[in-house]
Amino acid sequence: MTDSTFDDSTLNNNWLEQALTQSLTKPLTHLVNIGQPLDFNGYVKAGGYMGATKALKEFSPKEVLTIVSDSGLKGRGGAGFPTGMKWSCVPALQDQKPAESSPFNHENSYLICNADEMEPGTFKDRYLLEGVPHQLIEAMIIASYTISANKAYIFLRGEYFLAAQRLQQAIDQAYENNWLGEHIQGTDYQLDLYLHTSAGRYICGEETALINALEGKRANPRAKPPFPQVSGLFGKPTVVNNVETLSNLPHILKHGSEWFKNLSPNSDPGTKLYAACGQVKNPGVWELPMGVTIRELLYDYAGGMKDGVKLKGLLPGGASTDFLTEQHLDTPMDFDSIGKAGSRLGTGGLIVLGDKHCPVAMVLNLLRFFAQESCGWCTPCRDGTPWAVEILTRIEQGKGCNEDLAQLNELCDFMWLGKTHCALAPGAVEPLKSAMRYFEEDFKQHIEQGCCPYAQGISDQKTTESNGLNKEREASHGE
Amino acid sequence: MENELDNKKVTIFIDDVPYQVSPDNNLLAGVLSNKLNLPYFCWHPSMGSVGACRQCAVTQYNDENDTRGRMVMSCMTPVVDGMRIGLKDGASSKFREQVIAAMMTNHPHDCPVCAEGGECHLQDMTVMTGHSARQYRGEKRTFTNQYLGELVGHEMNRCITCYRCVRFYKDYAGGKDFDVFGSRNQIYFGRQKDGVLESQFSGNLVEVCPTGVFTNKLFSAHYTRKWDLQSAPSVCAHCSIGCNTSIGERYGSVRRVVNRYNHDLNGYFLCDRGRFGIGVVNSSNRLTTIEGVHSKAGEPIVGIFNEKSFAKAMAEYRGENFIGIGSARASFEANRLLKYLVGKENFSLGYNNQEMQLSLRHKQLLAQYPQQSLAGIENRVQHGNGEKEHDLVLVIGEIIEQTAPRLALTIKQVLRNAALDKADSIGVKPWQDSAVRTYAGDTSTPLFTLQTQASDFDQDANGALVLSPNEIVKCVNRLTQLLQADFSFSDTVVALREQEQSPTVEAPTARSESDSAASTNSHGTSFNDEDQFVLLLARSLSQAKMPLIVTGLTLKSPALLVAIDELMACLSQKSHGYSPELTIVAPACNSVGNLHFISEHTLSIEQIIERCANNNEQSTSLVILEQDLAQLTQAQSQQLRQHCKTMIVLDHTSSDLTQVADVVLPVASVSESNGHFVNFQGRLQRFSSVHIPPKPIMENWFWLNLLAKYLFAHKELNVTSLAQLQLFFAKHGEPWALQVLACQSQQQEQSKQGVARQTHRASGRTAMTANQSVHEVKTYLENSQNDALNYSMEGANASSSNMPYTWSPAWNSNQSVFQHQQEVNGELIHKANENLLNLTLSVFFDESPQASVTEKLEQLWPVLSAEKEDELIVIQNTPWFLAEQQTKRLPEFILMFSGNTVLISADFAKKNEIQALDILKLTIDDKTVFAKAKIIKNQPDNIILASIYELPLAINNFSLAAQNINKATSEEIESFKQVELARKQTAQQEKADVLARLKKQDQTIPIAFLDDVGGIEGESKGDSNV
Repeated sequence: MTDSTFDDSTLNNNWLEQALTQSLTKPLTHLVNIGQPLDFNGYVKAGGYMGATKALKEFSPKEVLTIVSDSGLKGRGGAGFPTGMKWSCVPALQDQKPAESSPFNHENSYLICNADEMEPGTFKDRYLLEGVPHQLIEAMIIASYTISANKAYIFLRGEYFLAAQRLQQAIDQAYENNWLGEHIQGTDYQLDLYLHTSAGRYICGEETALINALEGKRANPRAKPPFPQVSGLFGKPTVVNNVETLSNLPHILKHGSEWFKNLSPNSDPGTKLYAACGQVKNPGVWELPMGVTIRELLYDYAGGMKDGVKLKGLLPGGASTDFLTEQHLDTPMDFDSIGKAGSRLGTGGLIVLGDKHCPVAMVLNLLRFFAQESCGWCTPCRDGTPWAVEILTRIEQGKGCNEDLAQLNELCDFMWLGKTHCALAPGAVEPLKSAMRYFEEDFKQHIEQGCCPYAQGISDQKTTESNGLNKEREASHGE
Repeated sequence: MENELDNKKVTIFIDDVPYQVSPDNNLLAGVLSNKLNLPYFCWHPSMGSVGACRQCAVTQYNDENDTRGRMVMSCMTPVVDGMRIGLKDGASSKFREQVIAAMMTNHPHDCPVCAEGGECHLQDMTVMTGHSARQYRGEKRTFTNQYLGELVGHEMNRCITCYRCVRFYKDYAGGKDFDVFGSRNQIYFGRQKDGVLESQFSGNLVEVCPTGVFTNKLFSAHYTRKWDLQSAPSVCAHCSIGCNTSIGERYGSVRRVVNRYNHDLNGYFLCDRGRFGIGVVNSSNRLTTIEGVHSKAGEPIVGIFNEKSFAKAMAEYRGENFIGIGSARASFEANRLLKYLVGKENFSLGYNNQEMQLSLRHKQLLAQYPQQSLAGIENRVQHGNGEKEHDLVLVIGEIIEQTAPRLALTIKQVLRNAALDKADSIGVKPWQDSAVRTYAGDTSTPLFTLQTQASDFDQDANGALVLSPNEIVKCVNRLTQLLQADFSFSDTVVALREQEQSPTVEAPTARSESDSAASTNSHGTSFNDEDQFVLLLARSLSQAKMPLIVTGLTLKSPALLVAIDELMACLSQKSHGYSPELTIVAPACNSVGNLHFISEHTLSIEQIIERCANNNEQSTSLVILEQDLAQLTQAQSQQLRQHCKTMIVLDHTSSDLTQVADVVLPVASVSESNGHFVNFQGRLQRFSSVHIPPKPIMENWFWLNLLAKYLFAHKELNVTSLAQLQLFFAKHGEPWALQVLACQSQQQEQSKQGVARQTHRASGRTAMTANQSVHEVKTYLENSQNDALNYSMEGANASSSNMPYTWSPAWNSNQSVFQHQQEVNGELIHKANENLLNLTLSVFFDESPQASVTEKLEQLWPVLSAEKEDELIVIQNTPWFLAEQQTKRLPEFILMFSGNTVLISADFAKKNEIQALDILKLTIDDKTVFAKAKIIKNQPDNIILASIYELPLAINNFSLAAQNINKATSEEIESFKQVELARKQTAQQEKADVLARLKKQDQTIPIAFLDDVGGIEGESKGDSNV
């Protein structure tokens, strides 16, 4: 690689100056540069690897764990599980008398970064992966150090070609600069980081399916217990964290847990990458304090609804969350509040449905995706999702009957939490069930009129549609 | 014992009713153990839980005030004392019905043409959940089926995706050519492409599959519903393990064999040789007529037996000196009777001198080291109890996957002990199958193999060494010496050495061998490897708490058994809590039974020939019971025939011997007869006839009984049933007979009216023979044998230990067996008596030092050990389906055979300028055979591995001069190709012929059981021997 030209660096410097002003308010994204992400030197100049330096040189793994636990960081992959608590289940971090930490107990553990971002309507991790790859590597060094892992993997969605390229470059640079490999920065700590690009299944985002895929097995979720923290990759203790979750670590280490908590006015600390797509004027992704309301996100950031389109409903956090409607617009987008409103924060990516589009068609599209991506392990998901697709297809075509609605309700019940092997099918139920509640009239009209009431006027729109949802559809059909 | 079990149990509440369940198993097993109905698919009693099908959902309540509860999968839920669950609650009942409904969205409604119909677990479960109305209105997904070979059919459209097949084939049985493909509702179970399933256990797919995806092709070809089968409890005759089988018959022909649960032995699984090998009883080569006894002109020769003319014919041979030759494939009773008839001085087991020595060594080992059952070896009962598990397996000189496949399946489970223990250490129980595999992965119990050829087990072995038979003996001796030395020095020496090299470190296995052998002088390399192998093995053995040593008699090496005896003695003596166990694979289904009859008087073949030849008046004659004497040289066979006066052969299928015999008496096959086989452990196991063959085919003991009457003129012996025969020997104070009778009377007490061989819903009972006679078949004739089973639908149904088939209300499939078990996976409620044959050492092992025993054996049965240095040693390398003399004839197995091959070392090939795939001509005992050459690495230069159809299995480990191996001329190659082709064509023809004949027979069955008076015109033409 040759040095960048003078002009470029000036440009970069200006951009960087600008960016650094936001380092305390937009920690995750202030260094994002999609056109030309910072290389190792640039990242270090911008204050990068300070968090990792602090972790490795000033703290013991347990102290890092305490800091992260204190920060109250919750997983950003969708479930919102406290990160510190997840880590503390790793045997190496559990309270043991020194005598007991004999070679026998001292098992290797692994860190895996879940970068298999395939949730329809979600593209937040991609923003970080492509825009600031070194941030993730620094984060993974901190996390691996904490859980005593000497090997870490980035499990990257196969379609993220650019991210793969940039991550691999960043990994190589980190090796060159002694941030990976043996004796990192003169310490005794050793870490090898591998980039693994997925062969492409939505289910690989489920952490145990991801582990199976990484082991070269079928990407079926595993039975739990044992949980990955006890028996994960190759039977060893393993922590799987989302890209965004991990990306918080360098900043928490750098600025402290109190700072992190104060980022949000809300009980859920930190910032969050929020996104919006669908029938909005200005789709995109924004880092905002945790707890911004849906209304703010939709109207202040995403520019409101497209001209002539009224809000019909929205999925607050990706395809596998329940619909919310107009009445929920003032709900803060944090884990608890969205939960109370009857949905889930999920990935924080809004999918917005306007009144010109058929909700049945949208749900059908989603269910097709979930049926397609079912791993085929458990009966409710494997045979239930295609059944729902079959019924929805008929309803959308105007060939449905009233019994179909009852059957759909039955299927929602059949595929619900506790009855399936993993969360895929319940995730598919969420938009379906809520759509049937909020848009019951639409379903009934399809049946009564024997056709899709939206059919006219939609056909020409469909062609110009270019939201994330459609992209996902392509991805899922492109297998 | 039972109290102990009860104490361990805890109380749980199912729909508010208290039940006792074991906390060692999951909730589903607990519910089923209490004989409650709870549907399931993916769970299997011996394969554990994975939670895929979600069929066994129940509602679990926090306490008695909790009315809502939460749904759990019972197979994935551990049992906790006091837990409360609901089976009848609305939520879980509804969900279970929904699961079936979802599965049915793709399951075709082809039950009428499905071979599983009437014994389909899916049918049972569907009815059990109450699912009766179809809601799904869409299309069903379809698949293309695969050709999986001659044995197992494939119909993927029926699949409900329970994953049992792949879990059995791949995870449990270690198969490599079957997997799960695809995803979502397009999951496909099969091979990567069409082709014959490689596993010896593929037939279990038929039983493991809860519906009709995998079917028994032989059964489907000549099909009847399960409820129309007449069944009998039998014992597999195709190896020494003695797996319990259930044979099914209709219209006078055997249709299939299925597994008969025996907790101690086969459990739920059979090997394919046992399952499909039964086809040989329908062979066109069956003997159906008496040869050498003239019948009256015009009298039919099939369908009736004229005792008078037989008596008259036999009278002619009276006064000759008869020697009786028993066999290891005839029942224990028949051998006993034959010995009784001829007297112990005139009795032989058809063994040559070497085999006599071998048998006595075998007996010596059995008397010293009790043989564990398969359940004992696997430790099926006490899993998790690390103390009592085998923590090392050493297989010496026996390719068990060929000679005793079911044992190989057990050993595969033993190798999982380490994984189960590891999982146990984090609280994962053995039944949590997926969790164990997640956590313990490939963790395997240490395994070492010391063989004359590569084995399936080598790839999992910590050490695998291939040597010639003599070198194996030397190697075992070295091992013993090393162990003795290490033990006698001090334990610290061993401990110190351990630190240098942990035993878990990869041994110098075949893997490393293959790298080095290619480049270096093979002699030097193998020597080195042997050193490392022995050292590593000695270290591992000295650390093992309970090693298991597996060997067998296939190599026919008495010296090997002596060496193993010394190794066992060495391991046993050292009292560091070591309790080594030994498992010896016997050559045939009743070999161990025959050890009971062996004494210093027992004649070897050499002695018989000598006696015949020395007798100038030529008055020595032979009665040969179900023997091939295939191990005889051509010269020996000729001598035997020339020098004996009369040769009377009793057998069920024609052989070389029946061709030259004076009198041939057609004997009932295993499916048509009764008696006991003694398995490798010494366990006396009863097999019962499933139907009566058309006369003059009669049971071996009955023929011998007739010979007693008319040939030997024994007045005191006149029995009409097997029970009477047993009683006769019981009166003589023979312990085995007393044991057997006690067991039978116990069974008769359980069901006074007897057990029905037919199901309660068998169709056409009175109409089956209506085309022959309008009179109903007289059941008293059939049932006069006074045994516990009736040829009828009358009597108790299958719940005794002697279950002809398994069935229970609402459970029509083989899954019903849990209803007859004390608890899931446990003993049967009506457990069969364990009749272990008491094998006392014969006189000359008493207090004799080893050396004098050898001397004595050599005196009695001298073995010329004239092995020349430069001679080659031929070792049989027959595939498992042909590795048994009887099933070798099964057309389906012949069609699976890829053709004659010999495996030679690269060095030998080089020396003799043999290229791979050259056709070689081998002259063995003046007979010429041809085989395709294959060149393999890691083989001692002097070993030739032969897989030659024409070579009898009884011949093994023999030397062959190098000049007897030559490249075939082009003419010979042509004729070899013809022979290979003809073998397949003949098999194909035989397969078609048998099917055609049996189907025709369905229309006009030979009703031997009508009465002797009503001679039926049989199909003598089609059945006569060719």
